[in-house]
Formats: sequence, C-alpha cells, structure tokens
Amino acid sequence: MLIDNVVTILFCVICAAEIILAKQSFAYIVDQICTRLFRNLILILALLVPVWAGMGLNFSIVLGAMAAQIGVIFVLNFNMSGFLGLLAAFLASVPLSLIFGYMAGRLFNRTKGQEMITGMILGFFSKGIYDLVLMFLCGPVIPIRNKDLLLTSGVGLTTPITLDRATRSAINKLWQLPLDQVIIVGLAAFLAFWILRAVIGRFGRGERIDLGKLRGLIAGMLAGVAYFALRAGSPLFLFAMQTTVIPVATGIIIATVCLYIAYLSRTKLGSDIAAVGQNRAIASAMGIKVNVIRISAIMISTLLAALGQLVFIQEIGNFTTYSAHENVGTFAIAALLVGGASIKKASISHALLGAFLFHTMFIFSPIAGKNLFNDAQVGEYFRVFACYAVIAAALALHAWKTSVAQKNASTSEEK
Amino acid sequence: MAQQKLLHFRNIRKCFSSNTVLNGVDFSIEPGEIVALVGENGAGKSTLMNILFGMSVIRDSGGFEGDIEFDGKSIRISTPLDAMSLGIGMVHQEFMLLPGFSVARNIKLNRENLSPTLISGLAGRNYRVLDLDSIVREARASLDTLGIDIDPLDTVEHLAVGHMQFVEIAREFNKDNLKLLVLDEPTAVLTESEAERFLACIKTMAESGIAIIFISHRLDEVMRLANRVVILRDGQMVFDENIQSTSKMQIAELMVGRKLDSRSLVNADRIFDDADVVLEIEHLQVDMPGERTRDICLKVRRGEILGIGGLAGHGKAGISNAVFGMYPAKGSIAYEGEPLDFGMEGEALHKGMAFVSEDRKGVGLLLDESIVFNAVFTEMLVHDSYLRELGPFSLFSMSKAENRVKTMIKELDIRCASPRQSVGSLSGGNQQKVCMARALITQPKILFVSEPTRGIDIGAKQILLNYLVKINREQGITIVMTSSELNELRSVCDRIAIVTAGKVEGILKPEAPNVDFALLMSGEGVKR
Amino acid sequence: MKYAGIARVKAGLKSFGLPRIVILLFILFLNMMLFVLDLPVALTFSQCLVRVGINIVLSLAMAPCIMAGTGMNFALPLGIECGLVAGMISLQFNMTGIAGIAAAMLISIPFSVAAGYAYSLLVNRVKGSEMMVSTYVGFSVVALMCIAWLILPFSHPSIVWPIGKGLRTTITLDAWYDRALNNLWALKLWGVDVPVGLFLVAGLFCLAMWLFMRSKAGLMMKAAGANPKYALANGIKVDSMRALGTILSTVLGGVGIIIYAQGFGFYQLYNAPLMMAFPAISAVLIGGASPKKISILNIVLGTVMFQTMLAVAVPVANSMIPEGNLSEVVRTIVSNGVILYALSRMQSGSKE
Repeated sequence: MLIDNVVTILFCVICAAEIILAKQSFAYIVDQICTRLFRNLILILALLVPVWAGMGLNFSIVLGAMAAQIGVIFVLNFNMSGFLGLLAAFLASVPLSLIFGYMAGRLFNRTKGQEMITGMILGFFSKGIYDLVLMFLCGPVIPIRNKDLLLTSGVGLTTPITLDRATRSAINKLWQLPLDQVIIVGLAAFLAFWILRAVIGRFGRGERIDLGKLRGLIAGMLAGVAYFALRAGSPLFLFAMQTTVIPVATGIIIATVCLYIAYLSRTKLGSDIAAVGQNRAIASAMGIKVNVIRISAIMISTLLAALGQLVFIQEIGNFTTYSAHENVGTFAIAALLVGGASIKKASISHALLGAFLFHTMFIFSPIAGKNLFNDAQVGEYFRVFACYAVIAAALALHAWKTSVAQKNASTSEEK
Repeated sequence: MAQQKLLHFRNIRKCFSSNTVLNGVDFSIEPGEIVALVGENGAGKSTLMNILFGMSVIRDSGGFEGDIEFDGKSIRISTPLDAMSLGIGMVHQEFMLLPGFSVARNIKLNRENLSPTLISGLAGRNYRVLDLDSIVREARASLDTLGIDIDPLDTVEHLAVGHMQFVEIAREFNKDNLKLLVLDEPTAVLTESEAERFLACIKTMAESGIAIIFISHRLDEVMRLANRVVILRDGQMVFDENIQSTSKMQIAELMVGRKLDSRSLVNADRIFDDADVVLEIEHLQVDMPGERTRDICLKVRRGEILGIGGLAGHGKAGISNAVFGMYPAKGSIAYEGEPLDFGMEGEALHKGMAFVSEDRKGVGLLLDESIVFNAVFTEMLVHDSYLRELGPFSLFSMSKAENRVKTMIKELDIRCASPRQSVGSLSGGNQQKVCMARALITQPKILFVSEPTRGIDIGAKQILLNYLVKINREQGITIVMTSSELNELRSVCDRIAIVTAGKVEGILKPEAPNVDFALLMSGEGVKR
Repeated sequence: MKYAGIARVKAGLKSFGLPRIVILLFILFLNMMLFVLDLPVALTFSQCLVRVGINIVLSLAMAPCIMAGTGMNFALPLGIECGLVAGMISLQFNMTGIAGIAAAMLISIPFSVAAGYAYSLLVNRVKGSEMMVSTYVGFSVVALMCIAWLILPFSHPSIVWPIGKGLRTTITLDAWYDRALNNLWALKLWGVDVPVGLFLVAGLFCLAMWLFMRSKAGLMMKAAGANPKYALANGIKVDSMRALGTILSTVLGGVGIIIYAQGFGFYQLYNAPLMMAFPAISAVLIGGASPKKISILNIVLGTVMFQTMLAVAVPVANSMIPEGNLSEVVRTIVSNGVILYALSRMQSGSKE
C-alpha cells in the first residue's frame, strides 16, 4: 500500500515544505488553492472515463481544449458576451469536441495498446493543424467579422485573446459566497444526506456494505468538528475562511460533472466501459461492442475537457491563442496521478486530492524557490520537473507491474 | 425414446491446408443427454467444437463442409454470437470472466437487468441504471439451482480457480435459451471435491433438459457422468454407444487403435546399457504456459532415440524447453554426470546439445532473414564460426556460410529458389527443415526435436524421420523426440515415455499394446 | 507483360507508403517554388547540406534501440544532455577547434554510458511501454537539467550570465569551434558550400553503425529485437542486448548534439532539448523505418528528405506569407503526422 501511494505521500511532503518555505499568509494560501481548484478540476475529471475504458491517460484532451477555444473565438466573432456568450461558446464547442473525440477514438482503435503515446502525438499534430487554421486561414480564407480578433496584417488571429469585463469570470461571478458559509452549508448537507440514506435504508444495494462508506461518514463528521474548533480557536483561520470567495455557480457545474460521472458508473454504458477496460477480448466475446465503447469514452472525455477549458478561460479572463492548450494534458494528468490514480484505476477522489496537491505545489514552487535558493527560476523549473517526473514514475510503475503480472499469470494458473 | 435430436452434425469435413482434420463425422445429441467426446491429440474434437461454436479460426482457414441441424432446422453458425443466440453455450479452458467484477455481474455480463431513469429517457437505453438487486438475486438463483456454494457478491479475482469454472457454468445456465452446453476438459483445474460437485452440477443441468457435450480424457469421469460416449480418431468417429454397453478398457483401446505400421522403420530391439546415461533429469518442474510439468524424472541413454508423448497440455513439450532455458524451471538435469545450469541462457547449446522447437515460426526462425543466415546462426553464436575480423568488429561472412548451407539443403532436400531466399516465403515443411539444419550444423551430441513432422505432408514425413534415424545410426547422435503423434514415435523410437498431468506416467516399448498407451495417457497407469 | 509491370509498380508504391509519396511531392513542389519565386538557391542548398550533415548522427541514434527491440528512442534528450554537459566542459576549459569538438565527444562518452546503463535498467522492466515511459523520462531529465544548468559550478565568463546565476540559454561558439567541422575541407560546387569535413565525420559514424549491424554483436542485438524467444533459444541474453542498444543510442545522442551545435554555431540549453527526439524519429520514419525495423538507408534517406523539406520550406514560406511561422507549423504537422501514421500501422496483433 505504501509503494502504491509513494507518489502521493511524496507530494504531500513537498507541498508542506513549499508552503512553509514560501512564508505566505494563510489567507493567501487558501485563496490561491481555491481559485486553482475551481479553475482546473473539470479538466482533471475529464481524464477519468478513458482510464475506466482501459485506454490509459487521455493525452488528447488537448483537442477538447482547442474545441473550447474555437468556441470562444466563434462567439467573440459575433460580439457576444457575458454568461450567455459563454453558454453559446460551450454549445458551439460541443459538436466540435464530439467530432474531435470521435476521430481520436477511431485512431485509438487502430493503435490498441499504445493509446497514450498516440494521444500525445495526436495532441502535437492537432496543435499544428490548429495553428495552421488560426494563424493563416483566419482572415484570408475564413472571414472574421470582429476585426479586434485579427492581427494588424489581417492574416491570423491575434494573441492573447481577451474577454471583456462582462464575460470575464462570468460564470464565477454568477453566485459568490465566502468559503466559510459554503463549508458550513456543505457540512450540513453532508450530514442530512447520510441521515436520509440511513432512513431509507438503501445500504448494500447489490454491493457489500463497505466499511469504506462508513469511514466516509466518520471522516466527514470528524472534519466538521475540527473545522468548527479551528474556526472558533484561530482568528487567522476564520479570517482566511471568510475572505476567500467561492464561485458557487462554477462549483455547481463541477458538482454536476461529478454527479454525471458517478451516475455513468452505475449505468449500462458505464458497466460496459468498465468491462472493456478490464479485458477487451472477454468483453468482445460476450457481445459488447468494444470499438464503439472506446470511441464513446473518448468522446465523453473530449467534451468534458472542452467544458473544463471553458471554465478555465473564463476564470483567467484571457488565453494565449496558440499556446494556452499546450500543457493542458500534461498538467491534468500529472495532477490525477499525484492524487493516487494509476493508468488502470482513477476515481473522483483521486481527481480532487490530486488537484489540491498538484496545484498547491504549482503555486508555491517559485516563491519557495526564491526563498530557498534566492532564485524563483529554480522553483519554476522544479515544478515542471515534478510534473514530468510524476508522470514518468506512474508510467514506469504501471509498466513494471504489468510485465511482472504477465510473468506471474502463467504461474498462478494451476496449483 | 424417439425424441427429436437437438443437434445433428451431418458428414462434417474440415481441412487445414493439406491436413484433413475431420473426415466425414456424423454426430448427434438429444436434449438432456450427456455425451462424452473422447480422443487423442489431433483426433478432431476441438475442431468439431470450434465449428459448433462458430470460432473465427474455422472461417479464417476456409470454412467446413457438411450440414448442421439444430432443433430440426438447418443452420449456419459463423460467429460465437450466432451460437449463443441459438442457445449453445461453451465453457472454455481459459475462463472468460472479468476479474474486477463480482460473480453476479459476470453471470449477467451484457445481459444485465436495467431500470430506466429520467436521464435514460432523454439519453437513451445505454444510460439505464443496472438493477443490482435483481442481478444479484438472479445470480444467486442460478448458483443455488446448480448447487454451487459461491457468494454472488464476491469479486472474481479473489475466487479459487476451480470456483471460476463454476461461475462460468452458472453464467451459461442463467441464459434463458440455453439448450446445449459444451465443456472442454472441465475437471482439469478442479480439486477432487470440486470435481464431485461439478459432476452433480452437470447432472442437474441435464435433468432440466439441457444437452451436454464434454471433452475429457479422464475415463473414470466419462464412465460416471456420460450417457453416451463418442470416440474420434484421425478425424473419424469410430465409436458411438451408450455408456452401459462399454467399458474403460474398450474406450482406451479404441482411442489409440491405429494399425501399427508393420513396416516399422527401425529395429526396435537394440540393446542399450542402462547405466550409460548421457542425460539425467530429476524432479523437473517447468513453468511453461499450457504445458506445465510437475515432477519429471527421466534418463536418456547414450545413442538411443527416446520418444516423449502424451496428450496436449500435459507437459511433454515443457521438458525440452526447460533444458534450453526457454521457461523457468526447477529441478536438476545432469549432462554426462555433470550438473547442467539450464537456467543460464545458451548453456545447453555450449555443452553440445541442439533444439528444434515445436514453435518453428515463433522460436525457430527469423522469418525476414535468408535460409543461410537462419541455418548458421546458432553455429556462429556458439562456436564463432563464419566470422571475419575487421578491426573491432567480427563480421558475419555470408559467402563462407553459404557453402555449408548448400550441402545441408541438398541433404535435407529443402525446396527453395536460392539459399539466400528469405525463410518466410518457404512452405511449412521446408521451414521445419531449415530449423533442423540449424540444429545439425552445430554438430550436437544430443538433438532435441519437438513435433518434427508437424505441418509436413505425408511423403516428406517419412523422409524426415528416415533422416533422423540415419544421423542417429551413422553419427551416434542421441535423439530426444517429443511428439503428439504416437504413430510417429512408435515408428522410430527405442523407448517412448508418456507424460500425463506433468509427470512421466510410464515408459513403453514401441510394440507395446495400444491399450497400454491409452491407459497411460488417461492417467490410469498400466494395469497388467 | 505490361500488366505485370504495372502491378509491380503499384506494389512498390504501396510499400513505399502514401505519406512518403506525399512528402516527396511536397519537397519537389517546394524546390520548384524556390526557383519560381527567385529565392537564393545556392544559399538554401548550402543550408540544406549543413542541416542534413548535423542531424545524421542524431537520427543514427535511433538505430540501436529499434534494432534491440526497445522501439524509437523518445528519451534521446538523455543522451543529448550528456553531450551538452561534455560540451560545457569543453567550453569551460577553452578547448577550441577540431580538437575541441573531438574532446567534447570523448568526454560525453562516459557520461552517456553511465546514464544509458542506468536508464536501461528501467527499460528492461517496462517492456511494451517503452515509448511512453521514455518520452517522460526524457522530459524529466531535461527539466532536471534546467535546474542543474542554474546551479552547476561553471565559471567561464562567456558561458555564464554576467549578472545572476547559471549558464546562459544560448551560447555562441565563435570563440571555440563554431562550424569547425563544417568548414573543414569545405568545397564550393556551383556556388553551393559543401561541408566535406562534416559529411566525412557523419559518414564515418554511419559506416561504423553499418559494420556493427553486420558484426556478431550487432546480429545478436537484432535477433533479440526481432524475436526475443528466438534469441533466448540461441543463448542470447535479451535484456543485455536491450541495455546495449540503449547505451549505444545514448552515446550517439551525446556525440550527435555536439556535431549539431557546432554546425549551427551555438549550444542551446534549458528547454531546447525537450522535443529534440521528435525530428530524429520523424526523419527515420519518413526514410522507411518502423518501430521494429531500421536500416542505414532509412536513416540517411529520411534525414535528407526531412531536413531538405525544412531547409527549403523556410524561405519559401517566408516569401509567400511573411507573417507568422508557417514553416514551423508545417514541420509540426509533417513530423507528428508521420509518427501517427507509423503508430497506426503497428497493429500489435488485432486483439478484439
């Protein structure tokens, strides 16, 4: 168990060290972490379904990000803004991301067993096509109405593309509450949910009564008690909780995505995806259409990635047209892996934990580096290194385990 | 008892390239009947069942001739799904279970009970939720009816191997339309008590009207379970009688009842000194997937041709593979009295042994390379032959090697356009000869040959076997020959060891009675 | 007779591959445009020859690992970083001229062997996933070296930042061995500068690899890569062969980057080596190699095609569309497209 989670534990240590070295105020820490969580979570959640389908880490979510960006550009072209503008951008990106996902899925079906490297290279390749279209065809070949979007020469879109005041953070601004209130309401809802569950007696629906589920209740209650204690005891803590602002609307979107994924896992489609993920040959022999399921998984993933990138862009308020999506895949994947997921197993809790740890490290690396080495650059390089190393380690561990398992499978068959 | 036949195979013929595997088989079964399908390697049992189940290997090799009638109607079975929709189920030797799912979900895989929800109303059938309660209930019902004591909520990966078999059976039984169930060596992985429960389970199924075909070599089991016994031999049905009218001995006799070719190639009465042992194998345990051995003890006498036979999957192929370090193995092997470190790569080769593997394309050849290159490769590696020094490099010299190979080509009669032709373009038989050439060019003292004439046509078989006899008599090369074809072993070997269930069950002389061989192969031992 | 001939041509074209034909046509088109647009032809071809020469050894680095069965070496940056360290040492100690280049190459070898050996331990435990693991190992090493460049104790004033810590991002080589190999015995043919020394050195490496492929060790390695079970049956230690392939590839990477840097005239540190495996991989794939099979012809032909395309595309693209970086975009599309095509044809057994 320790080995499996060595990466997560290591990251906890690194984050703790960095927070201490960075010497920032608690309120700043909480605020930054919350901002990044809400900004990046959906992108990480988009990775879950392909893992279930046995296709590993979907490096091609960058296609979904590009679809979202094209959607935003499309909407800006017609001078739409505000929340409705963002909604329109998302709707515009839906058909695009589904098409991209479909094509990626077809390609993955031709490269079974090497989906991850295919996804990575596909990401690079698509970036080339994207650049070609946006840099050279927009303007001369594709008519752009909104001249603000074009470069002065008239050929190619400008960078960065900025959202106007009405659109910037439009989703976030829909409904904002202090963190303190949100936590209290959350704890109350959590308690109510468990009481309801006990009352209706829906435990053990076809699956064992998991000690794990009871553990969740106990952990939640302990967390609640701890929260109130800290709140009452430390004015610093209370201040941080009260000044950090939570974009509740965004939170609702994130929750919806989580609910969708949870629901999906209980459906026929979800069951088929899990079956395909375990063993393609057996699933196929039982009549499950493996190729179709794999394509569906990638399409869902790409669509969620588009949503995730849209949320990301609206929060920041602008995006570098040609490079905003570059590291989408790498960062999201590293975050998921840090949260304890692996190539074969990933869950919502991994995404949550990973988002928290990874982005914490990301925020504080440069500052910690500056304080430790007198050079913020070291910190910046370190966080990039940590990102790549996490992925390399996860891939290596998985590959090692797989080859060992294959060797042992032959020994364990007979007595 | 004029019941309508459930399944009727009429005059089934099947050839794989030039090899006739099924030669006019007529076979039928009635609902609720239990039929045992018995036969040696290559008798055609697996092929017949593959045809029944629509496996792609049949389609990919040219289909089959003959008719199949099921439930009175003439049908075509092209894919496993066709077979399943007709009500034919099969429990394979490799289990088709998803390890991460529970027993219940495996039983209902892709036939799950679903409940519609609001979302599924909008998004379609695929978004209906699995009704886990009813899935578990149904699974439990099937398991109970069959008398299987497994908790449907257990995850498959935590089950004992034997239990997995039961889950597979429960899965087939759960299918509403199941009419015929095929089982391939079902008790191979079961313990004694599990096997008992298995027999009871099958009887229950038969009582509910399901017809059962099971392939087995365990004659005890056949006698206890089957209503009828069908024996296949060389692609033909040689016996089809009710179990009451036969006995174990009779079945054994008929399994291996080939006329002994009176023109046996050799004088099978050569005298050997039992103490002059060139290779001694003790307690060899080999982990070769599909051919595991448990405890092989064998002595190879100098100058003899020793045959190793037995049913497929019982471990005979594991022995020679272990000597050459192809698979992890435990135990001890002594060569000329000295212990052999068989785990070290190439150890056996350096000591003067050579190996012609049964997997000629996978292990025996580099298909893209020329005949010359393939033939001299081992010799070049082991004895540094055919190399030319150029600075720090030892370069392979094609011209030096070519002459040697040309001689070999003539000796073995390898049909090719030129020695530089790539082996991938040769016929199977000629490829086999190249593998043989490679082994012989190293001038071994002991030659291990596995399945020497597999894929070679009848005429060439004799020639190859004659050649083996020749090098044995003239050059004194000891030969250890592993083969699935008992006939071939009996025509050239001095002794034949039969390997059953991973152990040497017995050693016979080639002229021993057929029934002795059959009993050894079914693990009954020789009762005399 | 005629139909047999046509069938043969068709079969030949099919095995040559559609993407290769497309790229060949594209190169011809670009060359045509060179003349049509009246661009400086001699200069372009000179640059083309230099590009080919300096990239050959990096492309050559793909050969040992494909032969040994570990697939395309996405971890080439590992070898490149070893070469860069050696290069920095050669600069630090003022090794100039051809001797400086030779010294740098020699110094890189022990680093590459050590790094390659350590990395091979990992490669032997991740059979089947080499491509993915090697990519991220390569990235991690580059990122780690970024930190190293900042804190390693180099002190030569021309290679470290005047203010602040660490080595510079780009270090021009005029004070040491800028283009020393290129200019060695250089000829001028019809106005085109032919870097004879460069070609001789590159050619020497190609010859050495060609000989190695036919030597006993090379044949053992090829057998291990082509069919591990066959190799085992012949007493070959497959893991050792894989390690040998990895080490050789790393060494060639180290040597290759030194030749590359002297050819361009500067060492590029920090994030520059991050994606350097991809041009080498695309080049050999274009030349006809696959993740399982490679020959010297593939390497040379592929590098010539790929680098020619790049060399000619830059002036043509810039004169046609002065804004933006069309040649860069084209390079991305072609190079990654070729790798995708190769991956989609790998078909690791149609397991369905």
